[in-house]
Amino acid sequence: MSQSTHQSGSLVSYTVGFVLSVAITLAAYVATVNKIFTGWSLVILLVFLAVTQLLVQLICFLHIGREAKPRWNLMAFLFMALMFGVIAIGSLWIMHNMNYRMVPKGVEVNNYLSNQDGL
Amino acid sequence: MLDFFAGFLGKLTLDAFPHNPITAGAAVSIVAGTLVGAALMTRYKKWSWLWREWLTTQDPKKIGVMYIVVAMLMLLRGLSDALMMRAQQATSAGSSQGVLPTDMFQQVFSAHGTIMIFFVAMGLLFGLINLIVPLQIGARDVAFPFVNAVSFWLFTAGMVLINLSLVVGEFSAAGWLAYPPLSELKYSPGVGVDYWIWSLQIAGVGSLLSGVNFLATIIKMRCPGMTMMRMPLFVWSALITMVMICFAFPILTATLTMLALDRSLGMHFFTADGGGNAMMYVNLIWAWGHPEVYILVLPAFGVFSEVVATFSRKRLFGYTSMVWALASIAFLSFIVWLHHFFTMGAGADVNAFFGITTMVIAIPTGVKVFNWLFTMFRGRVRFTTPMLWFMGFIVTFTIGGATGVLLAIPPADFQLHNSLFLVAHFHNMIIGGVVFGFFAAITYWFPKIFGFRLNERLGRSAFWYWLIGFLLAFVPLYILGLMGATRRMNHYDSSLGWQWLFIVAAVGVLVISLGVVFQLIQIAYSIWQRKGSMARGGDPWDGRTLEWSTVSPVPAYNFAIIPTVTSRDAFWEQKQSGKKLTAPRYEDILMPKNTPMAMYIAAAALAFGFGFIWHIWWLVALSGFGVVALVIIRSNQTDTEYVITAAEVAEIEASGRKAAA
Repeated sequence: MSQSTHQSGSLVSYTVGFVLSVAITLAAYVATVNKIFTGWSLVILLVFLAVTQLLVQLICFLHIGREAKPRWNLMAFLFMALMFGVIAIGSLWIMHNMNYRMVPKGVEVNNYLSNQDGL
Repeated sequence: MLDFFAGFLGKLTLDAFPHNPITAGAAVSIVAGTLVGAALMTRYKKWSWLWREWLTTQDPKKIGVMYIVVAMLMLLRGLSDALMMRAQQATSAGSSQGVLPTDMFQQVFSAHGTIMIFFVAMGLLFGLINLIVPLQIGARDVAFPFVNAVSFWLFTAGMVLINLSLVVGEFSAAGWLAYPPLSELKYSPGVGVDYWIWSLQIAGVGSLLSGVNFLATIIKMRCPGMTMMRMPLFVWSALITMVMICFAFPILTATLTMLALDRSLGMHFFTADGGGNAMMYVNLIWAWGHPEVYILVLPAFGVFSEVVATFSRKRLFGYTSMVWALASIAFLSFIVWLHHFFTMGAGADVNAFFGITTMVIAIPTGVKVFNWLFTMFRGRVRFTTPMLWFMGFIVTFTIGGATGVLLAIPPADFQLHNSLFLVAHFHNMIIGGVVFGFFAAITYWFPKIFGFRLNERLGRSAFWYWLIGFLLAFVPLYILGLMGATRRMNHYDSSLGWQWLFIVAAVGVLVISLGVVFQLIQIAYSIWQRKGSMARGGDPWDGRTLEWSTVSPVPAYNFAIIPTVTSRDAFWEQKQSGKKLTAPRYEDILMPKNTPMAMYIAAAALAFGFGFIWHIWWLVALSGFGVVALVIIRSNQTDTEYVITAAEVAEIEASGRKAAA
């Protein structure tokens, strides 16, 4: 119906996106399984890789930034940021509160976890 | 030889087929029903008609009808689960152990909740949105017609999978949200939870695709002149619901995936050992689950806004405040999820925050209730069946809202958590709110889709059986909950004196069943006697919005000429100004061709889920590859549209108008 406004990406952009996505996923896997990073540095690395993956897919697959009127996209992104903040911060708050109240001691649990998984 | 097949079919062996008489009966009736249906189709040579007109269609109106048919069948399944539960609890006091074995009772209540939410309420919701949204915004189609068909077929694939658990294997006994650790492999070693995971996962992806599709449709495909603040309220409610689906359903998909990884690949996201945390599952599932209940009820609010305005012959009172109420309910619904697990052990500050946000939702909801009542005030109200559903809704929904605010108080919730009081509360909201709304919608829009009205008298009878049955079934549960009866209880001591209340509740469900019987008779009778209730002109209720401006049944292309609107209630305006269209000049219309690809994709997804459930890994690999391959093949098809020429359009329009006159 809307052929005139339809913007399909080029083969190049899809290939680049695909290769980058696979590479980022493998990097996360290797870094974790081979214990190249551990502890907080691993967490930070994984979050960084996840956000990079998101950006790669937005740019290469969804062609963000090439549309004529970006108003709706901007609104969607702002709302997404709000929702993400609500759910992520809310979950962290809830889970921290529950862990604090429901397990013996935070330090003990952290010791236990690092012995178990090498986090 | 047998060993080879054992490995070949994963965990699937002859033991998977039912041995228990009740399950076997259900399995036999499903298989027999399917065979009888197939035989009748062959006898009356209807297969090619079914294939051509329905199964391969991309017309949202037909897809909407199919959604509603599937949802109605599932309503019967969910209702029979409800009857079994009520029979068990009414008979299982003291020395009697009731009519169902314990494990089966657990499967029945898990299936009841899952089916009623995912395959009845969601099915009715998407059915209605498919039927009405394109018509109300003056569009000929949805933004992505093929994706829409895929959504429907994925929903159906999930439905097939959940019913397959009756025939092959077993269903989850872990409740409708399958909390770990109970739902983990250690405590639920059978395939039941896997059936639950994969039927929801497949249907859930379909819902997400629909969410994106209708969001794009409403934003991009409104007819000229229809600004956001001129959209009918049902469209507003659909738009906001779709936004919620886009943000809530990914959480469900991710949570189910993690549970599936725990169960199938030995991971530890939610296990009690290995660093997992079962509380995280509860947190995540409700971060989806609370928005989900508002996803169900907001479209019902939209329906009532249309019904009340039409049957009061008045403009909707407080349109702008209605829109803002919808938007604020949607936002608030994302910040209340902890109220489902106040008792899990969060501190007072956390519980207080989520308790207060929950109570705040009552404010925009109250705004809506008063706006509907003010719309009726000094209107010329016609007490048709949809209006009866509306007034039943106002009463039951207000009671349910009040008990909801009560449950939002953490100290009260500590007493009432997991009691039958809670069960009564959410049935109050979902039956009294969602289901009544969708029944009103079906009665209201039926003549638009089929060209004749549903019988009023039978509809009224159905309404009264539903309302009285509802009160009989759930008021005792409120009382029982206050007396301390917990939910999902398969036996209780006779000295508690609860049995008579359970018997009243069982009678209530029987009365509701009579209501359903009346609805089925209503549909059959209305089809049989349709000559007397024709509404080909397309405007049987003196409607206000664009969908009533077309002939009924609506032609494939919806509008021969895309309308241009200048106000809210555009069709009402047009009727009032008495403007007549002068000799319209029709143009060729491009519509999507039928294709079976959507069905094939869903069939591959079904095989994928089935393979995962039974650990048939070659099937998982094959069908997973099949889904991707089919999508790629479809994406490369170019000849996907056909033309309805201007002459054909003129002919269809003329015959429609002639039949109407």
